[in-house]
Amino acid sequence: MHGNDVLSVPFPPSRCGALGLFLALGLPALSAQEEPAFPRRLVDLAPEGTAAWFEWGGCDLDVASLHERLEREAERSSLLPRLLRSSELRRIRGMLRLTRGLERNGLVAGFEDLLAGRLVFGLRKEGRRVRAFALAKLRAPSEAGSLQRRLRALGLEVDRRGPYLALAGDGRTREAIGRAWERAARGEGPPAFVTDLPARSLLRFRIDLQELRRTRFPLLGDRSPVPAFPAFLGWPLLLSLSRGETVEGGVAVAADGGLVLEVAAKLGGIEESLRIPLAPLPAAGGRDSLREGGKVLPRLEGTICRWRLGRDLAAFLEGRARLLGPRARRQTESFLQSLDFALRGPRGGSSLLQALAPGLSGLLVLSTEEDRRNRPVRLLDPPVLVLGFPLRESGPVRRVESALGVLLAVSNRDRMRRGRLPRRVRTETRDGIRLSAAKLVTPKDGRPWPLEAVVTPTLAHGASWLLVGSEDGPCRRILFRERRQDRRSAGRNTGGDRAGGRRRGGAEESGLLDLLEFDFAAAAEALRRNRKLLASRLLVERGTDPERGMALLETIAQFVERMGRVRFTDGIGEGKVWMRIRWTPAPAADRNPGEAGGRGGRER
Amino acid sequence: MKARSGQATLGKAPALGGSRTWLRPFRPGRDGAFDEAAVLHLLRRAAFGNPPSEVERMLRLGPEGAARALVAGSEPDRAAQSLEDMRPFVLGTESGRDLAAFWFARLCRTRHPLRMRMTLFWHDHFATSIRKVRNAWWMTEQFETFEGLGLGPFPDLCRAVVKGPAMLRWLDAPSNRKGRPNENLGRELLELFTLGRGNYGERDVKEAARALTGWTIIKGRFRFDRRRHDPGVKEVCGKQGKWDGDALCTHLFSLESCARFLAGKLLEHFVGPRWPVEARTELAEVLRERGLHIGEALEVLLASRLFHRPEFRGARLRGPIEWQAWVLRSLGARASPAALHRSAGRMGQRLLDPPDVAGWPEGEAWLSSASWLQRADFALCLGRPGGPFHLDPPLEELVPDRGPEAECGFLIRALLPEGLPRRAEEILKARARAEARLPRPVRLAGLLGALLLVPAAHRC
Repeated sequence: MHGNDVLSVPFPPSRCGALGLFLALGLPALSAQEEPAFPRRLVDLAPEGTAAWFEWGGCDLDVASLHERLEREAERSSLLPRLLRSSELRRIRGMLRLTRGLERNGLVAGFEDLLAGRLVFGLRKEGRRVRAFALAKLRAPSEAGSLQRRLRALGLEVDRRGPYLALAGDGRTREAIGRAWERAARGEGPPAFVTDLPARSLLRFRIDLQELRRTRFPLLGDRSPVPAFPAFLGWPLLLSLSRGETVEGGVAVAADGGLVLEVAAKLGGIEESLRIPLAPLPAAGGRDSLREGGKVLPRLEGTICRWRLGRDLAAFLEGRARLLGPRARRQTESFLQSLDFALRGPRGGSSLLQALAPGLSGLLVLSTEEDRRNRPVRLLDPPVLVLGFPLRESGPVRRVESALGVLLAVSNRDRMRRGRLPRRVRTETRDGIRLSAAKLVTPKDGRPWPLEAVVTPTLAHGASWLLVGSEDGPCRRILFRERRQDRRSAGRNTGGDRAGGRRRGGAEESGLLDLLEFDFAAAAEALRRNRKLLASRLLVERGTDPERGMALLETIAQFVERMGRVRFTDGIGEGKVWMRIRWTPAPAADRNPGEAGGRGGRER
Repeated sequence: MKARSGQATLGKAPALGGSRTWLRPFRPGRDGAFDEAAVLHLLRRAAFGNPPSEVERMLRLGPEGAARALVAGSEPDRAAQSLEDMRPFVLGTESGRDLAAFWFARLCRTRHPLRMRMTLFWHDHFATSIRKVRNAWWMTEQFETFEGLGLGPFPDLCRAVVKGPAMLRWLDAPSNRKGRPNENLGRELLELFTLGRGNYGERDVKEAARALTGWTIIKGRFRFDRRRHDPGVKEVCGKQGKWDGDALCTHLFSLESCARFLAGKLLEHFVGPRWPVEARTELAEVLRERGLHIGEALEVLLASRLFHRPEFRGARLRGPIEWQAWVLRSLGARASPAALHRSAGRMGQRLLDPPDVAGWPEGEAWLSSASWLQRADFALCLGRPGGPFHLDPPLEELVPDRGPEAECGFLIRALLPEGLPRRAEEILKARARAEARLPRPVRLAGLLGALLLVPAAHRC
């Protein structure tokens, strides 16, 4: 199944979305120029079951000199041969050859001199499993031998049949590859090699990386005594692609009730197109629950992650008889009954859901100094999670408060039974904003505060938001900020449309459906703030020495910090679905771990 | 129930003069050789494993010096200190599992293995379960008491443990009040903690319970509540007085049977199940002379002729935790503490959760058909790449890459330096040769598993 047929191949959209993100970020290329000697698309030779692919015209990456430095470090080190057993050294040298190839020739793993300049990366369905594959045209069949030797030098097992090569896979994979070979042999395509990436090869590769991690040698010219983190071998390549430019990709077009993504990515001044066929959307009724243009929780200082799902829960539940299968319907009914029970009353749950406006929003944010002052425990500093439900009316929300009381009573009974401290709710009302926070009671049996005292389940609401948070501070900040904005808007509108003011305060982009923002610098900060706790978990779960655990976490934080910021949005406008990915790498200064005062990249 | 020690009268010890026979210091040459085998025996019994560096040091110190060094332990190093920095983070979760796992992490790194061994010994002696106590902090406090006082005078240790909130709750002390005595604490104090069975009567239990009335927990601490206390005259083990709990303890510690009871337990743990009856009398004497000081008594015991007699070598069956600790310390490796805790639980020794007030059944009782399967599971999974134990460093780094037979020899030397029976060694080497084509990590994991399942690996 290939060519245009792929439109009918069902494929979970979420996977394609992930692939799209990966490809859009990770696979920049030169524009695909059609070769006269190669009239057909290379993907036509893909194995059966191919569901998504990316055909790419060539490779010419300008990678920073990272790998050169890495190789220099390794080659000049007199310690290395002593530190590494010869087999490991061979593997590392293999990796270095690979990276050198990457620098000079592009992303095709240093094999560009063997390839005829076209490459397909794709995903193929095999039963219930999804496999990745790569497909390339060889410059000449005789070069298969050379390629085989190179792959073997990397420690990968290779099968060879005539001019074709494949990474070892299971029987079914080989069958599929075999069929592709036969098509090529019948003259239906040019010489090509097809490779699946079976779990075994990936596992092997992972083991190699683990071995690399255990060897301590300075990476990137950074002399910190941390174990080499394998991701450094790959990710800086990715990061250096755009030379610090913002990467934007996007645009999806609805076709015949289904979706085919045609993503035109512009990376470093080079344009490339990406085709991902997706399954049709659920039945037309499913779209009833999509609601664009709603409110989003505001970005607070230190926001790590912010998201919105443009779904109308009430509409979805209303149409459940039509939208859901029998099993899912039963589960939903059971959920609604529990909600009614918790909210004390028939249709308590439905009335609450009717009070919610479309859109579920969330925020993960670093705590502020003031939040920390209010905590009884200073040993850790977890980020605060806030879930936001925009409100049509705030009346039924009172029922949620009383439900919180019931839940707390039940949970306290269980906690006491397990010898844990109970929680007590404190409610405050100010300026139309009501906030109930369930704090742990002060321990009176001589024990210190447990770590869970930093979490204060909170329920808060004003006129426009119902918030559920893991701590009260950020909920308070969000609601008072909304309040101030409402007042300012009301003043500007001279007593006019209050709801309109709110919309202006909360709306992000017109037609916005879903939003996902991630600030990696803030995530790195959260990691650093809690690294002792995380190191203690590594100690308990893996037996990792605390010092080593903390060094590893610092390395991860440095790596995460370099990722900058990613923003994914989609929406509906002018009868089309649009999708946009924006990636802003951290400024160059923050990318040098040597200057890792580089916690700085925390511009919000 | 504990397996009863089969006290046996061994061949008469040579008369060496003085009042002690069995506990006379071991004199190399006259009483036998203080060689590598003797040191390995000492390290297996008093520590957990036999790292080569320790063997050399102990050989240099001689029998008495070695016993003294084991009791004194080494100063904690930087790694141990950084581990201690993690304590509030691990214990702050208030999870018994984390507390147990943290203890396993310390067990693998400690520079004072005898202290950790005694912690385990006292945890069995004063068996308390978090299942009923339901307070990880109190259990932590009890473990800290075992560690801090476990090698000191027994009266200090016993008082601290019995007055600890964990023990008070475990044995229902707060419900023991004047007019409505609860005998749990009194009974176990006599039977399991100080005197042992047969050294008290039912009336002594009732009177001890009266003396202990008023002991309770207020705000997580021990409190003596005068209003609940029965101030009348009590008679315990032939002596009368208007005792409270403290006075009762003092009286119990002064009884000869207390020293004999402790001596018996120490002999069973350090010498083996078939210790000579006369040795108990001698060790009880030592204990009484030294104010029931456990560390000093152990110095005498571990440097004695009795301890080094060849017939006691390999006479004990290792408990699950002791077995795990021996494997890891002998290999010089670390593993996931949480996985070790889970695995020890499946083998029948779940830390912080003994089966009853009498602690874990020992000796052959460790090896039921079910627990043997679990031992096999641990043995075969320990070195497996991607397995639950995350052995660090992994076997392929620990064992030099010199071919299957040499690898087999290396593992035998690391774990069982005295060697295996020839037939067993041949079988293992044949297996290593047969599996030579397997990937090295897989081959080594299988080899380690096979080696850990030979009988010698379970005895010490």
